[in-house]
Parts: sequence; C-alpha cells; structure tokens
Amino acid sequence: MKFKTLDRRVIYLFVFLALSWPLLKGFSIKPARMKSADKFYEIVDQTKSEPNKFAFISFDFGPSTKAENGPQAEVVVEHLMRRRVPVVLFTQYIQADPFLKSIPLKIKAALEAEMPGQKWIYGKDWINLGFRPGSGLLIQSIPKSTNLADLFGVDAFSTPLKEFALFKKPKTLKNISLLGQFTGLVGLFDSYVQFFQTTDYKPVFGHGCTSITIPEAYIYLDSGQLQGLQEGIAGAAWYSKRLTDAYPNRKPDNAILINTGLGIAHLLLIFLIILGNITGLISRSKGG
Amino acid sequence: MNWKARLLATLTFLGGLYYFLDFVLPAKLPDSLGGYEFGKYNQEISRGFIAIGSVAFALGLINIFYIHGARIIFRKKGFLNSIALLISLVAMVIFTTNEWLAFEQVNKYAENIRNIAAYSRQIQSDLKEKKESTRSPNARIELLIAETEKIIKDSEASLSEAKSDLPHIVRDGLIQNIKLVSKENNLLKIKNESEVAAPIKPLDSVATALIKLSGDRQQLEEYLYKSSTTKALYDFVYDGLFVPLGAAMFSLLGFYIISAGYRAFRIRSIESGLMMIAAVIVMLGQIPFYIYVSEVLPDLRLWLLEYPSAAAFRAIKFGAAIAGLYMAIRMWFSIETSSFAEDNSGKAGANK
Repeated sequence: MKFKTLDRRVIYLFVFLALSWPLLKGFSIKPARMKSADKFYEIVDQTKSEPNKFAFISFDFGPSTKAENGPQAEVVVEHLMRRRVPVVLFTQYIQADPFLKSIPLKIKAALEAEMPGQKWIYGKDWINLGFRPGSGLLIQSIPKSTNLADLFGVDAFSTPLKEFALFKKPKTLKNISLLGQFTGLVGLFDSYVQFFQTTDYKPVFGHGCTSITIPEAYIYLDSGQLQGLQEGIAGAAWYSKRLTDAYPNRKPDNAILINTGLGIAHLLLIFLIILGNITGLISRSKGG
Repeated sequence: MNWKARLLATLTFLGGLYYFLDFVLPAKLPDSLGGYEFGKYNQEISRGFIAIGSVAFALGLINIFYIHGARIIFRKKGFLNSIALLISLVAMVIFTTNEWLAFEQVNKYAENIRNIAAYSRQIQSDLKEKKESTRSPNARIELLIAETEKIIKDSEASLSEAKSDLPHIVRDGLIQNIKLVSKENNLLKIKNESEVAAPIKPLDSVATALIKLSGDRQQLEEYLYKSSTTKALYDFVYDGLFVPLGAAMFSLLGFYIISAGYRAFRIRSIESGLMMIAAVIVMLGQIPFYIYVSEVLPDLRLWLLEYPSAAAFRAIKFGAAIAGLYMAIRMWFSIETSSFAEDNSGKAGANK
C-alpha cells in the first residue's frame, strides 16, 4: 500500500512536469469549445469601427492572476486592434498598471510584424488611462459624466485627453460601444454590473474571470447582464483559436500552450482522485 | 452615549443618507425642490476617501515598523524574517519612488512645451478678440520667443545626450521639428520686431510646431528613461521579483489542490459521490482531452454550470445581499457597537 502514503513531493513533481512539459516542448492540442467565449468573440467581432465610438477595457488583475487574465485581455485587445476599434484602457487595481503599458505594445509589435506597412499608433488606436483610484464611486461617476475627458483629465503619461482626436468632442457612456473587464476580484466586477449603465443605455459587456470565479460569473451571463464570458485560461485558449481561424497569418500565442499544460494537470488530478479512492476502498475493505 | 459616539453616529447617518439619496433620486432635482445635483461632489468625496486610505497606509507602515522593529531589537523568534521584510519594504519604497520621480520628469518636458504652445494660442486668441492684458501684445510675444528659444536649446542638449542607439525615426523627427520650431520662432521674431501691430498668423505656426516637437521630445525622454539605471532597478524589483513571486504564490494553489484532491476527495456518501462526478465532468469538459472520452462532455459541463450551479450561486448571492443590506442598515443607524461605544461600566472604547 505504498500509494496510501504517497509523498506529496512526488505529487508536486508530477504537477510540475505536467505543467512545464507542454511549455518547454511547445506541445499544444486544440482547446475544448467554450460557448461563453464564443459569445465574447461574437460581440467583439460585431463591434464596428465607428468615429466617436470606442471600447472601454479594464485590466483589474495583478501578477497573481496574470496567467489567466493576461491571455484573456490580450486576445480581446488584439481582436479590437485588428478591427481598428479604438481601445481605452483603464484599471482600478494598482498592480495592473504595468500591463496597461506592456500588453498593447506587445500586440502592436505582433500586428505590425504580421502586416508590414500597417501601423497602430498610441492616441489613435489605443489610449492608456492608467490606474485610477476611487473604486465603485469612480465607476458610478462614469455614466453620470457629461464629458469623460473632464472626468479623467489626462492619460497615464499626463497628456490631456482633449489633445487626442477621440476626445476632442465631449464623450459620454453612450460613446462606449463595448465594455471589457478582466479580473479575479469579484467585488470589482460587481461594481461594473451594477453601475456601468444609464437608464437608457448600457454598453455590450464581456468579462474575463479566473477559474475560481466561473460559477459566480455564470449567473450574470444567464441573466443577460453579461453578453460574453471568458472562463479562465480555457476561455482565452478557445478565443485565441477563433482568432487564428479568422486571421490565418496570426502567430499562435501562449494561451493554447498553457491550456494544454493545465489540461494535463487536470488529467493528473482526476487520475489521483481515482487512485486515492481505490486505495481508500482497499484500505477500508481490509479494515484499515 | 458619549459625545464622540453621538458625533460618529450623526456623521455615519448623514454619509449614508447622502449615498442613499444619490442612488434613489434623479441626477438633478426639479427647480421647485431646489435643483440640487446629486453626484456633483462625488469626485471631491472620492478624493477624500483616497486621502483617508493614504492615512490608513501610513498607519499600516508605522505599525509594521513598530511590530517588526521591536522583534528585531529584542531578537524575538523570527527576527530574521522581520529583517527581510523591512529591507524589502524600504528597498521597494526607494526604487518605486525613484521610478515615479523619473517618470514624472519624462512628462515634465513635453508638458512644458505644450504649455508654451497653449500660451502662443492664448496670445493669438486674445489678439483676435482684442482682450486687454497686463503686458502689451509685443511684450508677451517677446516672452514667448525667449521661452521657445530655451526649449530649442534644451532639446538640442538632450538630443546630444542620447546614445547612438536612439531609434533613427525619433532622432530624425526631433531634428526636423527642432529646425521647424526654430524657423517659425525666427519668423515670429522678425515680424514682431518689424511690424507695429503684433503678428497673429505666425503665432499659430509656432504653436503647431511646438506641439509636433512635444511628441518627439516625449519619445526622446521616454527613451532616455527606459535606458536609465532607475528604470533597470525598478524593472528588476517589479518585473523580475514582484511579478514572478506574486504568480508563484497563486500557482502554489494548483499544487496544493492536486495534493489535497488525492488525499481528501474520497467517496464516503451519495452526496460526495455526486460531487465527484460533477467535478470530473466539469474538469473533463473544459480540457482539450475531452475528445478522447466523450464529445458531449462540454455540453454536460455547460448544463451543470448554467442550471444546478447557477441556481445554487444565485441563492448564495441573494442570501449574501440580504445579509449585506441588514449589516448596512445596522451600520447606517450605528446599531453596531463602535470603538467609542460605552460598556456597562461607562468606559469608552470597550467592546460589548
């Protein structure tokens, strides 16, 4: 009955191998279809590139959930930038601030390498508002604002928003065609569900959550308060696959690789649960 | 109830009343009711919250130094951990503050150029509208010319500081725009000296050239900032240590969950059996390998999440919301015991 007293370090070693092997070898498998991520893809794909309209994307995640929320945010921002929908990036979580700078630059470099001759320019294709404190109160101020440029004032680099073509004329909530929010923090997500709307207008809302908060996000998807959802890394991987199908020249990202590793780890977990139950059953039948 | 408790209860009630009214009443009351605009001061109130939050951070810092400082001085158990904590804390504060100051400097130059451009446009607009100013228009233009010359010299000096690996697109743009600003400024100088009336048109050209220069200057300063030691040190502590450590802390969960799954997830009853079946379906339904088991697994998973799980979570959410409402009412009316509440002996600060 060696399995009964299996050293946890052996289990840790197996988990480590399961997660790292696909990353090191570049081994990936087609992700499972996620209908909620399909819905997210569709709402982004239907967002038109119109003058005076933009997508408002909030990165409310830090290093701890970057592995899940990072790829989710990347695929959505990439999709919007491909479709030339201006993106306004924002965060209420101080630790996300560096990602607001690095993620769009990474996407810009990938897109410009894929499509030589085309340029994605800061101020036109995306604007970074940076970290803004104020939490729920700030979210409540957005629908009430008669000019978002006055509410936010400057971007993350202290450039007055009114200097950007997008904010030359007053912009309100009605100019936001799509709201995207990525977080593992349920409290922050709830404040968008409650307050990011007026009595006569509500932007289309897509959310990226961590695996732990999936069950909670589903109640909003079912009620229609959310129009799209990316469930953990599995959602990001399926979204990434849809993007690759639509843009065949696109280089694969890490989402599918990480998802494959996580899939192997899940298989290991299922195997260990079954093994644990068999050993437990044998032990009980022997009166152990 | 002592006066402190009464004061706190009154302030709490008024604060709660404001937000209650802000939520239920229209954004602007009808003129017959005073026409008050709710939410008008939300930004100021939000700044107040930030200020109070900052005070809480400062108190937290003092507390950390007090507790861990004492542990180090008296060499109590775990004092080495306390040393590591305080060194990390001080180092992070120094690196982050330095980075913040350097980044502020990056924007300062471009902002200064934009301010001069705005000044040029202001003179132009005042001249068109024939507005009076404390200085004569020609004197204001002379001041503008002098400031623009300073910007040109400063930009040339910064450009010469930049190493040869400065992207040529930035270098070329900056050289071109320095020349453009210099040309427009000289033109303005000549017109201002030769004409009796202050020139209007060249003011616009100077402002436009300055705005162009501000963009290039920002890029140059960003380049200088990115190649600075301050930025390298910040990247080392933030991207090199903080981000991976944060991710590692969270990823440990995965290791523990799998180990716990093996040790604790045992079928001992019908309920635990159902739970295991549901867990296995949800896990298999979202991983790429479901295809080797059954193609219906993703749909089964979806059904589990959309029906039984969503129903249970709704019930939990409703329960939590009602409990939250109950707590909010208790806090709003100060029914909860506070730090200033009196105990039976009449002493303030005791918990009931």
